[in-house]
Amino acid sequence: MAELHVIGQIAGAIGFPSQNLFCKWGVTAGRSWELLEGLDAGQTQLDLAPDGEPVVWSHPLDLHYACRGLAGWPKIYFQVWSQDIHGRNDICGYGFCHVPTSPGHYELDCPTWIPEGTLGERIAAFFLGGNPRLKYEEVVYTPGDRFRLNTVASGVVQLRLGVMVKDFERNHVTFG
Amino acid sequence: MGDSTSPSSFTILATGQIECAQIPNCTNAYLKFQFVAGEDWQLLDGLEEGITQAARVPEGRDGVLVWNFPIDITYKTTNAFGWPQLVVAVYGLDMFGRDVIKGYGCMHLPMSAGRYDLNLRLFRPRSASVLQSFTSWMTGMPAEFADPKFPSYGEGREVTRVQSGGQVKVQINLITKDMDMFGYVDGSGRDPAMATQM
Repeated sequence: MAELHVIGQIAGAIGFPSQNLFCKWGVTAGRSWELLEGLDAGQTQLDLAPDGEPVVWSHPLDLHYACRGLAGWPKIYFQVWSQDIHGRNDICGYGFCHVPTSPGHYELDCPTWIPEGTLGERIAAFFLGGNPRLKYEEVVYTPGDRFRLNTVASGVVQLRLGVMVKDFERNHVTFG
Repeated sequence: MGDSTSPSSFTILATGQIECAQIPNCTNAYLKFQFVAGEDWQLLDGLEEGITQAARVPEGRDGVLVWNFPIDITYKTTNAFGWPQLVVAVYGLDMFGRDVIKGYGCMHLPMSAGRYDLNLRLFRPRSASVLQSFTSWMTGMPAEFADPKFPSYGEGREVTRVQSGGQVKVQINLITKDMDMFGYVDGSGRDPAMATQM
């Protein structure tokens, strides 16, 4: 049975409106993938970075999947949250990224976005906090119906990943 | 492809050095490092933990602390899960000459053979309140992680508040042995497993 190892870290983030951020992350895969070892969801530390520097999470990822079918190659999805000086958490970005399908070392930059409300909602959010959030969070990583969603671009999540596979070539899979 | 003497494990060998660090407002520091690996990993050779010398930034130069500390470690394993991580903790001197934590960093060793320059970004815990940060400054005991391996854990991080600053540069050369016999393809392009047709 073919196996996939994803080993690396969620290194940090850059370009968000706040420098006090944490990230809730998860990994989703298709029905023919089974997580043998490792955690496929979690939350990073809350880091305050100096201005101009990337926010540092260095959150280790170590996933061991068994693969019975190629459909549903694993995807990592993120929710970046910021914490203000009063201790309130507010959503700062949604994003996702496929695990690369070719073994090797990668430094990935995953762009993120947040839903945008009406002008009135934006003015209220400026004073009171409370950015609009997604009701169904699967929208981030499924190619479903996003047609009515208005979003604005947010910062970039940086990942450092190593991908290693086992026994795929026995099943005549080429990676390129 | 059946080989009667096929290996029951594969080995990785990492050599290199903890080269230097650049940390704002820190001119004198030493570093403690530790390798953390999963349960299936067995240390064959080398030191899993160590302390460098205390280094000082030279006058009139960019603020670089040079340790040039050798790393040499060999692991044997049957499973790539739990790939070793290098966890570092940098301690410096505060204005009263006491050891205070300047930052923790963590990174996995590379997964394919080659030469790498790794940049570990440092972070340290924040005090829970203004009063606590004042008393920790007075007594020279800022907040530290109780478990020095904590930066390598994937869970339990959601309750930590940290601030980041500074980085440590580590050079690593990695060699692997018998990974292809196990069927692992690591993308280095040198895997015989990729070239043969089963």
